[in-house]
Amino acid sequence: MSTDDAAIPAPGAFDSRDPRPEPTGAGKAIGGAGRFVDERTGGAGFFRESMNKVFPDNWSFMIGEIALYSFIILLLTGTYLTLFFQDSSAEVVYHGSYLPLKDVPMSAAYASTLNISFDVRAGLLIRQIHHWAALLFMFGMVVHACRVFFTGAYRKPRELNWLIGVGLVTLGMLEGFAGYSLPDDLLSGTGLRIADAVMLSIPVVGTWVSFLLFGGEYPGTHIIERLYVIHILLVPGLILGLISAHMGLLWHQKHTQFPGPGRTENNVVGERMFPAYAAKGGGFFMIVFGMLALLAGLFQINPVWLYGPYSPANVSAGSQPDWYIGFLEGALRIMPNWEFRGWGYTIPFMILIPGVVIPGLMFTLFALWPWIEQRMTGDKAYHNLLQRPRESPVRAGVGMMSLTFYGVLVASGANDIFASIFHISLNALTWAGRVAIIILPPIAYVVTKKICEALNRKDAEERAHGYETGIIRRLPSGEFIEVHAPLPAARETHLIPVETTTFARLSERARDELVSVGSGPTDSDAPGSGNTTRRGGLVDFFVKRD
Amino acid sequence: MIGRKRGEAATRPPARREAPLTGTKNDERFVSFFFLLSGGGAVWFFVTYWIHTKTDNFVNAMYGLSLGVCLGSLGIGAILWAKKLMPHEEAVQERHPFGSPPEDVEAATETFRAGVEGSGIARRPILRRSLLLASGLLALPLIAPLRSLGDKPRAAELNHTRWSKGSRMVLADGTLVKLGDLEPNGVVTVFPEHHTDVEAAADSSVLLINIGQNNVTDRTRAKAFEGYVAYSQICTHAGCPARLYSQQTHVLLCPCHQSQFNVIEGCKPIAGPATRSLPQLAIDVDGQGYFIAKGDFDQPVGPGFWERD
Repeated sequence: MSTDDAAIPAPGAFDSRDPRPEPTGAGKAIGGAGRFVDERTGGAGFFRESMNKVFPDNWSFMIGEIALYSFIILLLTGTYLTLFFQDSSAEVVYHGSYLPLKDVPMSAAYASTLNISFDVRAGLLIRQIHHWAALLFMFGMVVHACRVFFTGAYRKPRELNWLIGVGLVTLGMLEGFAGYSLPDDLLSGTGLRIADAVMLSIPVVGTWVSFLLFGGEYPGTHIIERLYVIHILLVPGLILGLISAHMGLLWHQKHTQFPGPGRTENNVVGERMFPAYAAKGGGFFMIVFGMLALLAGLFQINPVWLYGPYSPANVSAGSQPDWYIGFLEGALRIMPNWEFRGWGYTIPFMILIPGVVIPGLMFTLFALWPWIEQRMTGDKAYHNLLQRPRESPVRAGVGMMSLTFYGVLVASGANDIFASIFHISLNALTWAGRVAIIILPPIAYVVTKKICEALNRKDAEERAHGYETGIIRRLPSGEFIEVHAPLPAARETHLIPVETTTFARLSERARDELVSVGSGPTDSDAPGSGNTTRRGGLVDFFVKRD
Repeated sequence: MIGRKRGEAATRPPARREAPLTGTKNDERFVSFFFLLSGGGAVWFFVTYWIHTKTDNFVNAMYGLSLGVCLGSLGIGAILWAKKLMPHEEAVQERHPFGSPPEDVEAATETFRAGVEGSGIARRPILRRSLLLASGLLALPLIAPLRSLGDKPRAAELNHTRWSKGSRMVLADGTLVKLGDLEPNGVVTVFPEHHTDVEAAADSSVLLINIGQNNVTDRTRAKAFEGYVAYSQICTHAGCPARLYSQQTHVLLCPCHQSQFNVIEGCKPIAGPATRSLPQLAIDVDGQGYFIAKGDFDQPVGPGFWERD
């Protein structure tokens, strides 16, 4: 260090002799704003570290993004809807522009939903985006959970994020159910009626739970207001908090990656956050939003005006919940009619088991899976490299078994639709569901495990003897053989190292090394290294140097 | 390079190089096309909004298409920009090890232990126990307000409906139901007079069915009137209205979970998850020819619950 270091300027003061040209226009404005924030928060280091953060890329990592973006869209559209929705069971007479329901008495909640759909300009679009986004939010979370499961991404140190994810799926179901119960149409009321029966089935406290939630005997007059608070404040607040924790942990622990050239358990290889990754992420958000807008414009969802206002005395054939509640509906449908009655008490097992016990067990096992696997394998090591599903045949088998169990329940939830489309007896389908839920999951386990083991044997074979080229050669002895070729060698890579601490905290030597990666004259002068020149330029762009 | 001499800076020319641009002019035009398309979608949306004050399927489709084009093109443009015009790199970053160094863990443990020791909680049993007691009792003021959410479940509400001796039957619009209103095999949903509201419909809605005198059996005769029987339509499984009536088979179907009840046999469950028959309401016809109930149901209607006998 030279003596000039004594002349380090006071914090906030800038060297007017900086040889770089003064930025002009937008650049100057952005720089000014950044300086303003930095002088008050000291955030420049964090900002730079964030822009430099490396994200591994794989198509399957986008699924979680779909769920995240759907949630943001839900917040945006939901806020708009609250400006017009009335959370009230008070009876009003409808005078809006939907003529088939003119002069019909209904709840203010239902009337305001009709109002949003027919009289608020673009209200129907926003309502339908909101509903489609809810379906996509749940779908994104479930498929993301499958990706995380089958690739073993939940292994140490990511068990906490797995737990948070299970919490998010659970809250998402609750949020969705509360949301589609709000319009107080015939379908949503039917769903609430079933939810009430599930609460009543709980031994000892069931009637208390139901009476406290509904404010008295079902249906009471308070449920819409209560569901509204649950739907727009309580649960979304929890979801927002958990999503922040989920993303914060992801940021801190860094994303997992698939094995590949240069990729180890101790590094992360990919593109930096800024600019390419940010542009792709922002673009993907816009595409998800655009797709939801197209769906909402072109495909009707939850046409509450066709169902009519809720009456406990009415119901329509083919009543179906939203897809993520379908597994509960299916469980209720295929459960045999068991009930305990005696000593003056009743335990309706035909509701209690499918409505409380089975989902409780499913989500407990779902949440505890990382620890169950650790117990089975004894593997307590850190894992930052993902596995292909075949690499753990037991895990893949358990996953397919669980999905099959879930799938049979979802399909049974729509068995009346299948019965009417395919002209099959409904009772036969109920029995088919009962049999399938017992025998299909174990079959799925065995078949998946066998397939994975076979794939592993094939991989081992290829590693040992090369792959089959399809070329048949006849040997002098007259024997025919297929020519095997060795697997192609891993491609060479030039990885740009990105340091993980802020620039100021780096040792002087480390700084010199870092900077020389991008600008070393030997790099760019070497023949055939056009790429490195460009990369050098890029490092220039990211890594501050004089 | 880092330790630049400050004196030199003024004389040395700028060392910074501009990174060469990736991609061709055509790529740039291609990306810009999508950004322009997005702008077009935005204007299209705005114009649709401006022109149409009423929403119908066509207008909603225009909204969806224009917004979809606006947002989707912006997204496609941004991704193409990243793919075609930004330099591709494979950067590598070291992961920092998880878990703190043992000395940090040791120090944290020691700090915590010292704090606990300083508080004296371990060595002052009276303090500790009274604090535990207070913490436990804190649950009372936390839980108590939940009680305000609803009434105590009372047997009167759980076990009884709005039907009483002499209640006349009315349709949902309040019209009285008279003998002879129903065709043979006809079915109608009725309520106790003056109780057609949502609250009453949840437990008091009844199906009145003209099954014909030949179909009245010993099991149903006591509560039937001539060829008419009346059953609670609240499904004994999960409470949906079990009111889809198949006239040929005399079966009532609940569309929620497909429980089926045989009307001839006192609405006994014959398929699906329901366990109990739909309760039958004892009916009569008064002097003016209107249907009336002889009293309330003799058992609770609807889904099962713990206190149900």
